[in-house]
Parts: sequence; C-alpha cells; structure tokens
Amino acid sequence: MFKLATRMTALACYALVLLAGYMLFGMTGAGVIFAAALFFVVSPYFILSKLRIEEDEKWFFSLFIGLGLFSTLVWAVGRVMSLRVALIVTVLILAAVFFFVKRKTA
Amino acid sequence: MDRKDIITLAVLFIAALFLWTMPFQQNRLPFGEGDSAWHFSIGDYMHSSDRAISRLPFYVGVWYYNYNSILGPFALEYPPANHMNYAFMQFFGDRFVSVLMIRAITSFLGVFATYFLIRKLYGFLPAAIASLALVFSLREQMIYLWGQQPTLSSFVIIPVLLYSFYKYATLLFEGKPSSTYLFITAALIASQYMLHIQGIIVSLLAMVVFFFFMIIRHKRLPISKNTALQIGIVVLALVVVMLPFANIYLGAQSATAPSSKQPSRLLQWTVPSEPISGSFPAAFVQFSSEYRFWMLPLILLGVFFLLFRREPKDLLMLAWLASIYITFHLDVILGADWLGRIARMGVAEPPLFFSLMAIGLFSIFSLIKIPSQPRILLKYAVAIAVAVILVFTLGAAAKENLSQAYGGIGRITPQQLELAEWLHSNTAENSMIYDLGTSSYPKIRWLLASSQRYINQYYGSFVNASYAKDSPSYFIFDYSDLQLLVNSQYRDQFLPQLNQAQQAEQAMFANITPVYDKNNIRVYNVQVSN
Repeated sequence: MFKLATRMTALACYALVLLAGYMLFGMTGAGVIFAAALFFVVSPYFILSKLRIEEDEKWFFSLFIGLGLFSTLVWAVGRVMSLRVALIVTVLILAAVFFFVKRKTA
Repeated sequence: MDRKDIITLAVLFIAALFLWTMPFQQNRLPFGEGDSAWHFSIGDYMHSSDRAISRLPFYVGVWYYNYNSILGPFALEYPPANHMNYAFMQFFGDRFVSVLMIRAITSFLGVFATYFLIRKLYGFLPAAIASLALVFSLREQMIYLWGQQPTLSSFVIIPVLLYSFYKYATLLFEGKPSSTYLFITAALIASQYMLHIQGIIVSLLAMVVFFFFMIIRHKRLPISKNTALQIGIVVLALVVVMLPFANIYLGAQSATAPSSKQPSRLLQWTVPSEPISGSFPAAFVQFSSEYRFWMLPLILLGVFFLLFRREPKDLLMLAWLASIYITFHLDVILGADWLGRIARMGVAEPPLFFSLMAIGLFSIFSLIKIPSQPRILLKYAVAIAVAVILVFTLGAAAKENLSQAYGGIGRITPQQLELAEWLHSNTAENSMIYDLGTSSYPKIRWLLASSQRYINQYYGSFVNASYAKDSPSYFIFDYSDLQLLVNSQYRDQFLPQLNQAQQAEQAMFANITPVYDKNNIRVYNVQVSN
C-alpha cells in the first residue's frame, strides 16, 4: 500500500482532476471522470489488489486492463439483463471478490 | 512512485484534459469523420436501448451492409469494449459531451502508459519529459479528431504491456519466474484485443524480439516444465476469452490487393506520404510535423546509448524499436497492399521516439563528470528548459490544431441537430432517409448518429435492396449549410450545388407539402417502389 501521505496526495490530486472536469463541462465533466476512475481503475483494482506486485503497478495495470476488459465483462453480464443493472452488478461482483479475498487473507 | 509522481501525473492529466477537449469546450456538438459517427452510434444505441447488443440496429447495420462475410449482415464489426465505454459515460451526463470526453481521455492515455514505463525503467525526469511531449503529439491528435479512437486505445496500452512482459521475462531469466506478471501480460493482451486488434501486432512483435534478445544475452532458454505449463494455461485462457470475438475480425472485409514488393521501402523508416495522400494528410507521416529537428540527434543518441549499454531495460526499448520498424514494413515483408493500415499504425511511434529523446537527453549526464549535487540540479534545470521549449513549440502547435478543429459548419449545427431530433421522434426505426445539401459526408453521418435513423447522401437513385423493402423513405433537402457557403467566399464553389438541389426538389416534390420545414431544411415523405 502507498504511505498515508502519498494516499492523501493522490486523493487531493483526484479531487483537483474532478474539479478540472467540472470547470470544463459541469456535472458531465466531473461525472465522466468519476465514472472512468470507478470503472477502469477501481473495479479492476478489486481483483489486482492482493497480488504481490508494487502498489503503483496495481493501479496502472488496473487502468489498462479495465479499459478493455471491464466493459467486455459488463457486456457479457448485460446479455441477460438491462445494461444499467449489468453495470452495477459487475462492479458489485468485483467488489465482493475483493472483500472475500481480503477476509480470507486476513 | 511517490508524491512527486502523483502530482506530475495530475498536472499532465489536467493539461491534457484542457488541451484535448478544446474542440468541444465552446461548441459542444459532436465532430469527426464518418468513423467517429459510426462508433458513437453503437454506444449511443446501447445506452438508449439499455441493452448490450450482439447485432447492430438497422440504421448502423445498413451503413456497411454485410461487412462481415462470416457473421453476415448486422453483425458487430468490433468487439464491444469501446462502444460499451461510450454507453457507460452517457449514464453520467450529456449525450454528446460525455462521449467526446471519454474519447479524448482514452486517446491521451498513452501519456500515462509511457510515463509509467519510463518512470519504472529510467526514472522521473525522462518519464516527465517523454510524457509531456506526448501530450502535444500531433499524430495521436489527428487520429482522435477523426474519430478513430478505438484504434488509438489499443495502441496506448503498449508501454504498460511491455513493462509487464519485461518484468516477467527478466524474473524468468533470473531463475525467479513470476506467474503474476505472466497473467497480467495476458490480461493486457486481452484488453488490447477487445479494443482493436492492430495494437497487438506491435505488442507481440516487441515481446518476441525482446525475448530473443534476452536469450542471446543469457545464452539459454529458461523454459522449465512448470513455466511451459503456465504459458500453456495463459494461452488457453487467452483463446477462451478471444474466441467469441474472433469472427468479428476474421470476417471483416478488407480489400487487400497483393502488391509488388518494393525492397527500397526497407531503407525508409515509415510510409511515404504520396501513396496514402487520399486518406492521410502529409503531416501525418512527416517527421517535421510530429517532432522538431533538434529532437532527432537526441533520439539517435538514445538509440546509441541503449545499443552501447544493453541492459535488459535497454533491450526492451530496442525490441520496441525493432517491432515498430517491422510493423512499418509489413507491406514489404508480407507482400500486401497495406500502406493505409500501416500509416494508421504510425501512432505506435511517438511514445517510443519521445522516450528515446528523453533517454538520449539524460544519457548526456552519464558522459560528463560532475559532482552529485550539482548534477541533480543541472538535470532538473535542463528538464525545465526542455519542458518550456516543448510547451512553446509542440504545445503551441497542438493548441492551434485542436482549437480550430471542425469549426463553424464543419460539424453539425444546432439546426441540423433539431432536424435529427425530429427525425428520431417522427420516423420509424427502419426508415431510409436520403440527403441532398448537407455540406459533407461526415456531417450526414453525424445526422444519422444523432437521429438514430439511416441517412445517406442521395446519389441519384433509391436503394433497391432486400433490407429496405419494408422501409418508409424520406428525403432531406438541407439548404442550411449551402446558404451560408453561397453567401461567403466559397460562393462560386457551392452555388452550382445549391442550384442542383433546388432543381431536384422542384422536379421530385413540386406541389408536395414537406413533413418538416424549418431552418432552411425540408423533409419529404417518399414513395419508393421496390
């Protein structure tokens, strides 16, 4: 895990990026950046977080794996339900995997 | 990475966001060539219908009807990843701006992939300089503006994928194989495949060449039974993931004519501009448009430094260089007329060349003897100076390029969007709509995308195909662009077109009341006998 100071810096920078999106395009701007971070970074990170690799590698690998595979996974889930629901279900499934593995390794 | 990396990444992101969204900060209507409207259409349909589709809707499927020779008409023409990303974003905001934003963001993500690779291998300053230069990369911007972002998204993954494979290979040759990096490499390959298959060509070539270099360096092939089993599992997993979408790529029609091999092409680095002038402007392939001439000695110095030192990380960069050279000469190696495709893969080059430039720049410090503290200060001073030069040269050019993109009636107007909304509400989903007067092919396609109705230029006859036999038909006479053009310096060029459209309207629809008549645009119901 990153040190606390690094994590706080990361959160502050993320907030700045959200603000930049908002300044440019209002709620759409902030919303897209929030969604991109949630779907392409955080969701895949649920799977990669327990791997024995460096923390920065986890975040970058998450982004570029998520870009192509998260959306494909939602598409597969969405073949049997509404797209909106599939999106939420997929995020929840990945989060559930994270918490399950976290509990097992604790 | 530490706090200075995070701050640098945030600054780069915000700078790239402000720059790459310039085309739609003032005018929030969509822009781009026909491809951009096509890609938008699919994501937009998935969002509006709330469905993950496996067949294209009527108005998109007719566009390149029967494109896929294996899957047949209305088959998906790409794996769904990019279009799903568009659909997701539309849940979070404006229909067009949300897609334009994600199109911009996924196009400039190569900045961060390159930062990551170079930071991990060569340190902070080379990473910062290489990625800053990439923020201003003309070639990526062109592909983004035209709307071929799915292709670009596949290429942006390359630096991260190469890093993952580098970690796997170096640990393998050190006798400490890590299945973690092997599976991550596979996941990145799969991600690339789902976005667009072209990026995989460069990735796979680079991995093969790097592995070959490592075999030569270590004089052995460290493949144990366990390693072979892991690789076998990974390949199987990739096949399972990729197979459902294989026919999308295999069935794609592409006119690949055999070409007479031109060995002299091997002496050129990239595709010459003249044979591809119908599809790409010369600036897309010219060195002087993408880079500045002072960068060339630094790039070459970077290559020499890598060749001289030849540490594993240097071999990776050389393998990346070799893979791009091979990619740029596939027409000679395979004997196919692929110059257009190869030219588009030119976006593989800037991340590498800017990285080589940065490596070359900071390699100078290893050649001169300076005490440690002054060396660090001097490195930062040089980095700041180069960054300022990049901002005022490449950055200024990028700002001009992006801020002027698709201005005025270069994209659909509010009046044309109003027409599109009317068509969506008042015509059937399987309508065939013909257009005369809208000033460009891309704009007609954006009318199609915005209205979710099939609209095409009228070429003198109505479509007589089986898919259109039950389709109600309409005809648009769009004088909104033509009136503006005829009242401008382009009068002589567009007056004949205006007259032609008016004559056609008189001939075809005299004494018939249009179903839509607003803003110099009229729509007529058409009875087409099929």
